[in-house]
Amino acid sequence: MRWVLYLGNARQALYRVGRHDARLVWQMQDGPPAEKPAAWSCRRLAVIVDLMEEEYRLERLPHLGGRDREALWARKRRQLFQDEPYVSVVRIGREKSGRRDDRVLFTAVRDAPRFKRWLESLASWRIAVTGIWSLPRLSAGWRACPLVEGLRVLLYRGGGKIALRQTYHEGGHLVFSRFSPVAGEEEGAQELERMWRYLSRQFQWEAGRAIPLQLWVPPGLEEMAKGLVEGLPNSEPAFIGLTKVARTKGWRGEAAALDVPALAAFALMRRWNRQPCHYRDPVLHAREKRRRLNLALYLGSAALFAVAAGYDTLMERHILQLDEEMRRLRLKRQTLAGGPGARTVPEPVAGLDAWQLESLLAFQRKIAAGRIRPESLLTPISSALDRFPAFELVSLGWRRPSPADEESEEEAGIDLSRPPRVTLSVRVPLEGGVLRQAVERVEHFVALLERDGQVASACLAASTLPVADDGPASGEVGAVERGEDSAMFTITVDMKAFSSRPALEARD
Amino acid sequence: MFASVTVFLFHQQWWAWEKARDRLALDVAALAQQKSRNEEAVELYGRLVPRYEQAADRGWWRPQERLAWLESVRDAARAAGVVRLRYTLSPARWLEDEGDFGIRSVAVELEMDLVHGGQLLDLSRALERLGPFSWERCKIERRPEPPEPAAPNLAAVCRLEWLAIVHRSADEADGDFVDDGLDAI
Repeated sequence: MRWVLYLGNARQALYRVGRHDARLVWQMQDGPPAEKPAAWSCRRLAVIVDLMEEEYRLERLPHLGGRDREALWARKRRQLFQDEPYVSVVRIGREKSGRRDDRVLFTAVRDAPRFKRWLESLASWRIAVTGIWSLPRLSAGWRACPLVEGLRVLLYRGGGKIALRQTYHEGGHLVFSRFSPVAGEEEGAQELERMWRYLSRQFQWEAGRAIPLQLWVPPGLEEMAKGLVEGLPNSEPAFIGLTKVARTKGWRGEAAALDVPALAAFALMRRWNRQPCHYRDPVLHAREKRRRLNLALYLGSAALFAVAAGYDTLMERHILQLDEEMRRLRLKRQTLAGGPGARTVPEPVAGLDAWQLESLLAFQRKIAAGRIRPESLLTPISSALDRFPAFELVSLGWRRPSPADEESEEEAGIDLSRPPRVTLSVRVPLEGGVLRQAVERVEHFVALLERDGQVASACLAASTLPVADDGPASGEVGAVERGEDSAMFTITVDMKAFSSRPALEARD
Repeated sequence: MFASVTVFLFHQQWWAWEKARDRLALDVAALAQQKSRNEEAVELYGRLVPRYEQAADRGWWRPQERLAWLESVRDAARAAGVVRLRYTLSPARWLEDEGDFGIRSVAVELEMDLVHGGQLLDLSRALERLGPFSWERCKIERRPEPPEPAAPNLAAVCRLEWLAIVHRSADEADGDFVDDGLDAI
């Protein structure tokens, strides 16, 4: 909800502007009142001036830029309006020929004591003025019925009279305006004719050229509007209903409440129709800036406070979670510290901790598994020989095969991972001189050895009989009996690796 | 200002609590780890100490003592009825390392006259009481004469490694072992 104060010479009114209309809240003819009216509940409002004292001066100034232009305009402003505070300067284009000077419109509200009293009253009532807008200039910005060149006449009632707000447009811009309260149609027609003549002289209208004339007519003043233009020469009058204009601006209120000030108040508050304020009181402006700064600081502080509060809430939640977690951890620590096992470190055995002991025993196990014991070697051979009682064991030996040569064997140490090789020599009797039978028995003996779980392989390595095909064979035979009743056989037995003999490891 | 102060204070408190929580969590983790380690150690000791003691009884951790060898081999030879036994002890040497431990080995050369092969096994079993031995090589030969009771029917030449697992640094601190042993029973 926004508030707009309309300040006219014959009428002042306060409007409350809503989404669809502007409602008249208060009005009087000769304000301001001594006290703040009870209906005024606003703290801020916009002011629309519609005064006879508002002057319009169209000047043609050299086209300059930057500070030169500002200095020139300021000088011209002082020349026209001295030190009047409510002056507006706006460039509305350039001349189309010659030096192509800037066309600059100077407007001012001067010598308007009622206007100043109103501003003083508003200040005393602690009502902030957000800006001061000029009604004719506001109406020039309404695009409902564009007027490039010609005269626009706004008709409305006020203070028991009919107000004629005549605005002259050139090049699509407002260049002149005059407010004239008239008592009736006849006086209005005379006023309009005077204005017509003034404009034709001032803007040097070509003789005989028809000038557009737009009349915005509120409901009930249609007949009067027609009467106003009847005697006007070279005019092309067009009558436009104010209701139609208001609809295009989004007005959805009652038609009876519609007049030009209400429409101006309504249009001013439309976001898409917002114009920069036309007049700015330096004191009010400074006060407004301070207010905005205070508001920004307040909002900033509030936002900061909200963020801080949010952060604090978050932190508080985190802290509560931490508290809970720490309580749980303390309990766990207490349980761990008080329970068995955490503090009581087992006494080392022989100066060794458990893991040293484990690695030591693993080492010992490896060594034990790799060492050679006579029992483990002789057992399979003894078992096999038991099956062949005729075999005579002549010699038996074993050694661990070493890659190192014999001389350096002492220094090379032993490779405990290598299984030993057993070599045995047996004498086998030749029963009846049958050689083949003896060889078969030895081969059977070797096969029996190979079947033993501790033997990796066994083979017949040498013999006094020529059993191998890859070596030389020699001998002597004759008619005389030589008395050879046995043969020697050398057998090598490779034992299995000790790691694959768990039975042996277990013994150590 | 008030908001900034509260934010600062809350943040400080949160930060301090976070650090305290981290310290506590580390403490708890260390305790839990210590407990787990202790329990594991107890379990390991329970499983390994009997084996360690059993190996100790068999002389695995005992450095070789030559006087003990002399006493043992004399008794063992007599008990086994070995006709003659000649031995040579080499200087002790390191064979293999495993961490701080190593195999301290003394090479033993044996020359024996045996009545029968069972005496070798008896001797082996008797020497086991002294410590672990590895009979690295051996050669047993029957003498050409016909076997007779109580006569040296077999001649055996063997090389043994007398093993012991000892802590290297402790052993080296006790002094080295370089003297040869040579004696006959």
